[in-house]
Amino acid sequence: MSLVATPITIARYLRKLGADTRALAYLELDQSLHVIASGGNLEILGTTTINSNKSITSQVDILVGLIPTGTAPVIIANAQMVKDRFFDLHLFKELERQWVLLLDSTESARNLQADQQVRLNNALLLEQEQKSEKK
Amino acid sequence: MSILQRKVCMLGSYAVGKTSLVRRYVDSIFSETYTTTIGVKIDKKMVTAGEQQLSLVLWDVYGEDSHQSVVPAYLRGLSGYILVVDPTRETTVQSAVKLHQMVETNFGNKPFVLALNKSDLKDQWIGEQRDLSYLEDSAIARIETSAKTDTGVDEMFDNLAAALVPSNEVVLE
Repeated sequence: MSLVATPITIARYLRKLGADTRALAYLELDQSLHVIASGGNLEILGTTTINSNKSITSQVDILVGLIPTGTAPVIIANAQMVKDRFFDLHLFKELERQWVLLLDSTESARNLQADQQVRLNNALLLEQEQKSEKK
Repeated sequence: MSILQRKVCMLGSYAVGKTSLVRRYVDSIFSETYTTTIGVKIDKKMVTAGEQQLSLVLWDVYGEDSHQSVVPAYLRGLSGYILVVDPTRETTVQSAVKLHQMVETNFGNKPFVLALNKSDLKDQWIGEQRDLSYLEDSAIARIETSAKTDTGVDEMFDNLAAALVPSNEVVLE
Protein backbone atom coordinates (compact mmCIF):
# COMPACT_ATOMS: atom_id res chain seq x y z
CA MET A 1 0.00 0.00 0.00
CA SER A 2 1.58 3.31 -0.99
CA LEU A 3 1.12 6.53 0.89
CA VAL A 4 -0.38 8.11 -2.24
CA ALA A 5 -3.42 5.82 -2.01
CA THR A 6 -3.73 6.18 1.75
CA PRO A 7 -6.29 8.37 3.54
CA ILE A 8 -4.85 11.47 5.19
CA THR A 9 -5.55 10.17 8.69
CA ILE A 10 -3.53 7.03 8.04
CA ALA A 11 -0.75 8.90 6.24
CA ARG A 12 -0.43 11.28 9.18
CA TYR A 13 -0.35 8.41 11.66
CA LEU A 14 2.26 6.55 9.60
CA ARG A 15 4.42 9.63 9.33
CA LYS A 16 4.38 9.97 13.12
CA LEU A 17 5.51 6.37 13.39
CA GLY A 18 8.01 6.65 10.56
CA ALA A 19 6.61 3.36 9.32
CA ASP A 20 5.08 4.21 5.94
CA THR A 21 6.90 1.51 3.98
CA ARG A 22 5.53 -1.29 6.16
CA ALA A 23 1.86 -0.44 5.68
CA LEU A 24 -0.16 -3.49 4.71
CA ALA A 25 -3.78 -2.55 4.99
CA TYR A 26 -6.28 -0.28 6.67
CA LEU A 27 -9.97 -0.20 7.52
CA GLU A 28 -12.08 2.86 8.21
CA LEU A 29 -15.18 2.09 10.28
CA ASP A 30 -18.27 4.02 11.24
CA GLN A 31 -19.74 4.16 14.76
CA SER A 32 -21.54 0.84 14.30
CA LEU A 33 -18.22 -0.69 13.22
CA HIS A 34 -19.24 -1.16 9.60
CA VAL A 35 -16.59 -0.62 6.94
CA ILE A 36 -16.68 2.72 5.14
CA ALA A 37 -13.39 2.29 3.31
CA SER A 38 -10.53 -0.15 3.14
CA GLY A 39 -7.28 -0.62 1.29
CA GLY A 40 -4.22 -2.81 1.01
CA ASN A 41 -3.80 -6.53 1.59
CA LEU A 42 -6.60 -7.78 3.85
CA GLU A 43 -5.71 -11.44 3.28
CA ILE A 44 -3.39 -11.23 6.25
CA LEU A 45 -6.54 -10.95 8.39
CA GLY A 46 -7.69 -14.29 7.06
CA THR A 47 -10.33 -12.79 4.79
CA THR A 48 -10.46 -11.46 1.24
CA THR A 49 -13.91 -9.93 1.20
CA ILE A 50 -15.39 -7.49 3.65
CA ASN A 51 -19.15 -7.01 3.78
CA SER A 52 -19.91 -3.39 4.61
CA ASN A 53 -23.43 -4.31 5.74
CA LYS A 54 -22.09 -6.35 8.66
CA SER A 55 -20.12 -5.32 11.72
CA ILE A 56 -16.42 -5.91 11.13
CA THR A 57 -16.14 -7.87 14.38
CA SER A 58 -18.34 -10.57 12.90
CA GLN A 59 -15.94 -10.89 9.97
CA VAL A 60 -12.45 -10.35 11.39
CA ASP A 61 -11.85 -12.46 14.49
CA ILE A 62 -8.93 -10.49 15.89
CA LEU A 63 -11.09 -7.40 16.31
CA VAL A 64 -13.58 -9.08 18.66
CA GLY A 65 -13.48 -7.15 21.94
CA LEU A 66 -10.77 -4.75 20.74
CA ILE A 67 -12.92 -2.04 19.19
CA PRO A 68 -14.22 0.57 19.58
CA THR A 69 -11.19 2.22 21.13
CA GLY A 70 -10.69 5.69 22.53
CA THR A 71 -8.54 8.28 20.83
CA ALA A 72 -5.39 6.82 22.40
CA PRO A 73 -4.06 4.14 20.06
CA VAL A 74 -4.21 0.47 21.05
CA ILE A 75 -1.27 -1.44 19.61
CA ILE A 76 -0.95 -5.20 19.33
CA ALA A 77 2.54 -6.10 18.19
CA ASN A 78 3.37 -9.20 16.15
CA ALA A 79 -0.07 -10.68 15.62
CA GLN A 80 -0.40 -13.77 13.46
CA MET A 81 -3.58 -14.96 11.76
CA VAL A 82 -2.05 -16.53 8.66
CA LYS A 83 0.91 -18.89 9.04
CA ASP A 84 4.31 -17.15 8.99
CA ARG A 85 2.87 -13.68 8.40
CA PHE A 86 3.09 -11.18 11.25
CA PHE A 87 1.64 -7.71 11.56
CA ASP A 88 1.38 -4.92 14.09
CA LEU A 89 -2.22 -3.92 14.66
CA HIS A 90 -2.87 -0.24 15.38
CA LEU A 91 -6.35 0.85 16.46
CA PHE A 92 -7.36 4.43 17.05
CA LYS A 93 -10.30 6.77 16.80
CA GLU A 94 -10.39 10.12 15.08
CA LEU A 95 -13.55 12.21 15.22
CA GLU A 96 -16.33 9.63 14.76
CA ARG A 97 -14.26 7.16 12.80
CA GLN A 98 -12.57 4.01 14.05
CA TRP A 99 -9.36 3.23 12.22
CA VAL A 100 -7.68 -0.15 11.94
CA LEU A 101 -4.17 -0.17 10.55
CA LEU A 102 -1.97 -3.17 9.83
CA LEU A 103 1.79 -2.86 9.50
CA ASP A 104 3.92 -5.72 8.27
CA SER A 105 6.24 -7.02 11.00
CA THR A 106 7.09 -10.40 9.51
CA GLU A 107 10.82 -9.84 9.17
CA SER A 108 11.38 -8.33 12.61
CA ALA A 109 9.14 -11.00 14.20
CA ARG A 110 11.18 -13.80 12.59
CA ASN A 111 14.41 -12.28 13.94
CA LEU A 112 12.85 -11.81 17.35
CA GLN A 113 11.58 -15.39 17.27
CA ALA A 114 15.03 -16.77 16.50
CA ASP A 115 16.64 -14.76 19.34
CA GLN A 116 13.89 -15.63 21.80
CA GLN A 117 14.08 -19.32 20.95
CA VAL A 118 17.76 -19.44 21.88
CA ARG A 119 17.22 -17.41 25.05
CA LEU A 120 14.30 -19.54 26.29
CA ASN A 121 15.96 -22.84 25.39
CA ASN A 122 18.88 -21.73 27.56
CA ALA A 123 16.54 -20.59 30.33
CA LEU A 124 14.83 -23.99 30.33
CA LEU A 125 18.19 -25.77 30.53
CA LEU A 126 19.21 -23.57 33.45
CA GLU A 127 15.92 -24.31 35.26
CA GLN A 128 16.51 -28.05 34.79
CA GLU A 129 20.05 -27.80 36.14
CA GLN A 130 18.90 -25.86 39.20
CA LYS A 131 16.16 -28.41 39.81
CA SER A 132 18.66 -31.28 39.61
CA GLU A 133 21.00 -29.54 42.07
CA LYS A 134 18.15 -29.15 44.58
CA LYS A 135 17.44 -32.90 44.58
CA MET B 1 -30.15 -18.92 16.97
CA SER B 2 -27.44 -16.28 17.00
CA ILE B 3 -23.82 -17.19 17.54
CA LEU B 4 -22.01 -15.52 20.42
CA GLN B 5 -18.41 -14.44 19.92
CA ARG B 6 -16.07 -14.70 22.88
CA LYS B 7 -12.41 -13.76 23.13
CA VAL B 8 -10.45 -16.29 25.16
CA CYS B 9 -6.78 -15.77 26.06
CA MET B 10 -4.22 -18.46 26.75
CA LEU B 11 -1.98 -17.18 29.54
CA GLY B 12 1.01 -18.56 31.33
CA SER B 13 4.77 -18.67 31.60
CA TYR B 14 6.91 -19.60 28.61
CA ALA B 15 7.07 -23.27 27.59
CA VAL B 16 4.10 -24.42 29.66
CA GLY B 17 2.33 -25.68 26.53
CA LYS B 18 -0.19 -22.96 25.66
CA THR B 19 0.38 -23.29 21.92
CA SER B 20 0.32 -27.09 22.10
CA LEU B 21 -3.05 -27.01 23.86
CA VAL B 22 -4.50 -24.76 21.16
CA ARG B 23 -3.01 -26.87 18.35
CA ARG B 24 -4.46 -30.01 19.92
CA TYR B 25 -7.86 -28.39 20.38
CA VAL B 26 -8.14 -26.69 16.98
CA ASP B 27 -6.11 -28.94 14.67
CA SER B 28 -5.89 -32.21 16.65
CA ILE B 29 -2.11 -32.26 16.32
CA PHE B 30 0.85 -32.34 18.72
CA SER B 31 4.55 -31.73 18.25
CA GLU B 32 7.32 -32.54 20.76
CA THR B 33 9.36 -29.58 19.47
CA TYR B 34 9.22 -26.45 21.59
CA THR B 35 8.71 -23.39 19.40
CA THR B 36 8.43 -20.11 21.26
CA THR B 37 5.52 -17.78 20.49
CA ILE B 38 6.08 -14.20 19.39
CA GLY B 39 3.25 -11.73 19.96
CA VAL B 40 -0.04 -13.56 19.54
CA LYS B 41 -1.52 -16.24 17.31
CA ILE B 42 -5.24 -16.01 16.65
CA ASP B 43 -7.42 -19.06 16.08
CA LYS B 44 -11.11 -19.75 16.11
CA LYS B 45 -13.21 -22.71 17.16
CA MET B 46 -16.97 -23.16 17.11
CA VAL B 47 -18.38 -24.87 20.18
CA THR B 48 -21.79 -25.58 21.62
CA ALA B 49 -22.54 -24.94 25.26
CA GLY B 50 -26.00 -26.22 26.11
CA GLU B 51 -28.25 -24.80 23.41
CA GLN B 52 -25.92 -21.94 22.61
CA GLN B 53 -23.40 -21.87 19.78
CA LEU B 54 -20.22 -19.96 20.52
CA SER B 55 -17.37 -18.79 18.37
CA LEU B 56 -14.31 -18.88 20.59
CA VAL B 57 -11.63 -16.51 19.33
CA LEU B 58 -8.48 -17.94 20.87
CA TRP B 59 -5.58 -15.60 21.63
CA ASP B 60 -2.44 -17.65 22.15
CA VAL B 61 -0.41 -14.93 23.83
CA TYR B 62 3.41 -15.05 24.19
CA GLY B 63 4.58 -16.48 27.49
CA GLU B 64 5.94 -14.54 30.41
CA ASP B 65 9.64 -14.84 31.15
CA SER B 66 12.28 -12.86 33.00
CA HIS B 67 12.68 -10.53 30.02
CA GLN B 68 9.05 -9.82 29.14
CA SER B 69 5.66 -9.47 30.79
CA VAL B 70 2.33 -9.74 29.03
CA VAL B 71 1.07 -6.29 28.02
CA PRO B 72 -2.58 -5.67 29.06
CA ALA B 73 -3.46 -4.41 25.54
CA TYR B 74 -3.35 -8.03 24.33
CA LEU B 75 -6.13 -8.93 26.76
CA ARG B 76 -8.44 -6.05 25.86
CA GLY B 77 -12.00 -7.34 25.46
CA LEU B 78 -11.33 -10.81 26.82
CA SER B 79 -14.32 -12.78 28.09
CA GLY B 80 -12.33 -15.43 29.89
CA TYR B 81 -8.97 -17.14 29.94
CA ILE B 82 -7.12 -20.38 30.33
CA LEU B 83 -4.33 -20.07 32.87
CA VAL B 84 -1.73 -22.71 32.08
CA VAL B 85 0.92 -23.97 34.49
CA ASP B 86 3.51 -26.68 34.17
CA PRO B 87 3.51 -28.33 37.62
CA THR B 88 6.98 -29.71 36.98
CA ARG B 89 8.28 -26.12 37.12
CA GLU B 90 7.51 -24.13 40.26
CA THR B 91 8.23 -20.76 38.62
CA THR B 92 5.30 -21.25 36.24
CA VAL B 93 2.88 -21.24 39.17
CA GLN B 94 4.30 -17.93 40.42
CA SER B 95 4.02 -16.52 36.92
CA ALA B 96 0.39 -17.68 36.71
CA VAL B 97 -0.45 -15.91 39.97
CA LYS B 98 1.07 -12.70 38.62
CA LEU B 99 -0.91 -13.00 35.37
CA HIS B 100 -4.15 -13.73 37.21
CA GLN B 101 -3.66 -10.63 39.36
CA MET B 102 -2.83 -8.54 36.29
CA VAL B 103 -6.11 -9.61 34.65
CA GLU B 104 -8.10 -8.80 37.81
CA THR B 105 -6.45 -5.38 38.14
CA ASN B 106 -7.03 -4.38 34.53
CA PHE B 107 -10.22 -6.19 33.54
CA GLY B 108 -11.98 -7.23 36.74
CA ASN B 109 -13.12 -10.68 37.67
CA LYS B 110 -13.16 -12.85 34.54
CA PRO B 111 -13.84 -16.59 34.50
CA PHE B 112 -10.79 -18.76 34.01
CA VAL B 113 -9.87 -22.41 33.93
CA LEU B 114 -6.67 -23.48 35.61
CA ALA B 115 -4.89 -25.99 33.37
CA LEU B 116 -2.30 -28.18 35.05
CA ASN B 117 -0.58 -29.18 31.85
CA LYS B 118 1.83 -32.00 31.05
CA SER B 119 -0.17 -34.57 33.02
CA ASP B 120 1.78 -37.20 31.07
CA LEU B 121 4.74 -36.17 33.28
CA LYS B 122 2.78 -36.39 36.51
CA ASP B 123 5.55 -38.34 38.24
CA GLN B 124 7.68 -35.17 37.94
CA TRP B 125 5.08 -32.77 39.33
CA ILE B 126 6.18 -30.82 42.36
CA GLY B 127 3.98 -31.53 45.39
CA GLU B 128 1.88 -29.13 47.45
CA GLN B 129 2.23 -25.52 46.37
CA ARG B 130 0.46 -22.73 48.25
CA ASP B 131 0.22 -20.50 45.17
CA LEU B 132 -1.46 -23.31 43.29
CA SER B 133 -4.15 -23.64 45.97
CA TYR B 134 -4.84 -19.91 45.68
CA LEU B 135 -5.39 -20.26 41.93
CA GLU B 136 -7.50 -23.39 42.35
CA ASP B 137 -9.81 -21.49 44.71
CA SER B 138 -10.29 -18.67 42.18
CA ALA B 139 -10.72 -20.76 39.03
CA ILE B 140 -14.06 -22.03 37.74
CA ALA B 141 -12.35 -25.37 37.20
CA ARG B 142 -8.99 -27.05 37.72
CA ILE B 143 -8.24 -29.50 34.97
CA GLU B 144 -5.26 -31.75 34.43
CA THR B 145 -4.31 -31.62 30.78
CA SER B 146 -1.86 -33.05 28.32
CA ALA B 147 -1.71 -31.88 24.74
CA LYS B 148 0.55 -34.84 24.08
CA THR B 149 -1.91 -37.53 25.16
CA ASP B 150 -5.00 -35.42 24.41
CA THR B 151 -6.10 -35.47 28.03
CA GLY B 152 -8.51 -32.86 29.39
CA VAL B 153 -8.13 -30.48 26.45
CA ASP B 154 -11.73 -30.45 25.21
CA GLU B 155 -12.95 -30.52 28.81
CA MET B 156 -10.88 -27.45 29.61
CA PHE B 157 -12.35 -25.38 26.77
CA ASP B 158 -15.86 -26.77 27.29
CA ASN B 159 -15.79 -25.67 30.94
CA LEU B 160 -14.79 -22.17 30.01
CA ALA B 161 -17.27 -21.97 27.12
CA ALA B 162 -20.11 -22.92 29.46
CA ALA B 163 -19.14 -20.08 31.77
CA LEU B 164 -19.20 -17.59 28.90
CA VAL B 165 -22.76 -18.19 27.79
CA PRO B 166 -24.98 -16.21 30.20
CA SER B 167 -23.72 -12.68 29.58
CA ASN B 168 -24.18 -11.20 26.13
CA GLU B 169 -21.24 -9.55 24.56
CA VAL B 170 -20.92 -9.62 20.77
CA VAL B 171 -23.62 -11.26 18.66
CA LEU B 172 -22.89 -12.25 15.06
CA GLU B 173 -25.29 -10.67 12.62
